[in-house]
Amino acid sequence: MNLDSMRRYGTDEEVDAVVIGTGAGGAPLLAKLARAGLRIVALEAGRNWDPGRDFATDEVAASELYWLGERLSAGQTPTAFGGNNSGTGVGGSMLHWGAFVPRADPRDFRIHSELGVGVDWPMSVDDLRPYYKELERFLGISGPAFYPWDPERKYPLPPVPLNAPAELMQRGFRALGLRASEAPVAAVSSAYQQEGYETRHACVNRGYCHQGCRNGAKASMDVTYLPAAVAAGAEIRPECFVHDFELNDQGRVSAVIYRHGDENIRQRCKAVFLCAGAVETPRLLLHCNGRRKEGLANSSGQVGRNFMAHVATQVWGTFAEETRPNKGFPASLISEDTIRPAKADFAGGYLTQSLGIVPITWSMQVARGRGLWGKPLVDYLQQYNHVAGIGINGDCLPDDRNFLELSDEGDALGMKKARVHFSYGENELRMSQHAEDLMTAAWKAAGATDIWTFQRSAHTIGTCRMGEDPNTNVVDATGRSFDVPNLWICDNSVFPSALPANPALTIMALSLRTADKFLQDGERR
Amino acid sequence: MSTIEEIDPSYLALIDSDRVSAQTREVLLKRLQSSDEPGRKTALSTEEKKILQALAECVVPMAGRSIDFALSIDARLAEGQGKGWRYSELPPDLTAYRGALAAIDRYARREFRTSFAELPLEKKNQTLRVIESGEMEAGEPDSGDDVPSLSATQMQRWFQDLRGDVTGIYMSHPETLAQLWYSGIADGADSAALSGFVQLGLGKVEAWEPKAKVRENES
Repeated sequence: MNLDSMRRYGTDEEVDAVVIGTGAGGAPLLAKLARAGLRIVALEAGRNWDPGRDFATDEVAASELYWLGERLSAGQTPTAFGGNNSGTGVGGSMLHWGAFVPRADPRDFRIHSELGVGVDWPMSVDDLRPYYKELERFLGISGPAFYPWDPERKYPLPPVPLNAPAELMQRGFRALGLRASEAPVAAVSSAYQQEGYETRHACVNRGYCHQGCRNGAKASMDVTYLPAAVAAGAEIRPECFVHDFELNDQGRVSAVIYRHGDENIRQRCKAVFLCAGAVETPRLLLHCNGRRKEGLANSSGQVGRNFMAHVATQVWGTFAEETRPNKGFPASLISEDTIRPAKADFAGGYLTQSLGIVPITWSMQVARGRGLWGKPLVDYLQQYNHVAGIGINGDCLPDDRNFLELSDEGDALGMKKARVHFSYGENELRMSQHAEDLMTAAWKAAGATDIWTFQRSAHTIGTCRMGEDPNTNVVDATGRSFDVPNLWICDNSVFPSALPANPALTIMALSLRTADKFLQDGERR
Repeated sequence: MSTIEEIDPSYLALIDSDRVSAQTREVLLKRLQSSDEPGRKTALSTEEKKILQALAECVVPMAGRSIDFALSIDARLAEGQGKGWRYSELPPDLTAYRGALAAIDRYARREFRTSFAELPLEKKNQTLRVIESGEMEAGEPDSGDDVPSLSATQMQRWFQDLRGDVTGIYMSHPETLAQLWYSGIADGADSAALSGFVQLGLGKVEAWEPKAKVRENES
């Protein structure tokens, strides 16, 4: 994005706030605080891009958008990082985000009250609904005129067209007596005048959302909140990796230390918003243990605990007609009938989506997950233009066995690499099996042959939980640290439970809400 | 190595056409012509690369063409650039690759009295099946060898990584894309208002999009 004429602040100037990370957690609050007149600097580890010029339509080239600093993945169902869920660059992971934007279901915020498992959120959907509405309007969400699971909802733009996998899921779900609908999608189905920015071009159905949108159709942060923030006077510094904090005698953060090139730079500030995602956020806090052995903001011992990832089981099949699964918005159909599915032997639920896919990602899933090699692999890969997928995003309960810690291995800066332990519990295993059975039945009904299941988990969630009790949570219900009063955390790490809905819309809603809470009282404390 | 001459001319014409953006064309043509650069940092020995190439050709057998998988993987290992994560139970990528290659060769020499790369295809595949089933006990390296041994379980995990690495290289190769007549690269050139795709849905094709390769293997 264009940063040429943005306002700049001195590193010796005590700015009102530093925001660490420019993704779904950092960007919306950056814009809101800048518009409120605050002097604010965002530090982004990755580089600044010009998507139209820089992004090739190629999956290998797109790895420049992935966070490739190595994480160690442990547990019985180790989860994949890098391209699976972690990004870098001005705009954060939202640069390669899937742009699927369902709202979270009201019941999922109260899963403990309803079902006796997991934990409740320290807020209800009523707290987030105004933000969901604001986001859907501001980002230009495309969606159906009538959303079957929430008839009052209105999307500003009509839905994006259905591609072949979506048509097949429609067929399969109809046969099973389940409802499906055009999905809420953060790609504009027609040209959209972005508030405070330019006109965003309509989505042209390239299918490369996960590799970076080239024409601004997708509501990545670099074409929505970040230009708004810069227009309102925020500074964004790319290629700045924060690795330390300075604390004053009151235990407040007085400066942020970051690496830019070969230099360590110190930026003085009055407040910090840590928005680096559920891996880098706890990693940084555990790394910064200057005064307290357990790490910064960690008197509860909860930093790094309760790591969660969505159950993201997929079913693939081959169809007689061409599907060309690269074409169209990849997940253009949704069903929320499975949020509390029939015949469930587990708590909570999942949403179901149709899956298009680009070829290299698909081939590597086949090789790793289907276990094919040799002639059977090559023969199957030849079917690419005839395959289609269907997949879920399923809730995940917090579990003591699942956590992030620092390993003994250092990275190039000498900071310890994160090790993440993740094992499905009984609930996740049963959910995955239920979904596999349902999706296999849907794919059979839709006419698929050669059906197989790919086991995977998606998204990084938890590790700095929000809640009312300082003994069991890292931040309060507004996102503010219990230990360090001018430190706020806003990203997927604060989620108390995973929620089946894809996280980005809810992270952005929390971001706007945290900004409001900060402006109401936090700033003056 | 394949060359430009071996690619389906109609696919090459597509790459050259104004439906493909300049940066996409550059990436694809560079990949097509990739050859070893003199002075490039290298991570694996010539012998290790030979074993690796033989393994890769078992994972992705190709009649009548070949890709230098070993060169591509060696370049990545020498750069020290991984995929952003690894199984915690495996050592760093380069150590894991070297340990696994040594273990496989040791196994081949013990079981078949010859190096892995020299084995007939059936014996190679037999060796891979042993790895896949988590039963490769390759024994300890010779004294003086600097490569740590991997356990049977580690070998099984590593084999998953190998399959992913090799398959990604195979699928991203322009000749493979040409065989599929993959249309996704042609999203409409360099203007901001891309032409993209209009004909979505089952069985629908753009006027410029040829019919996809006929399936040879109905399941």
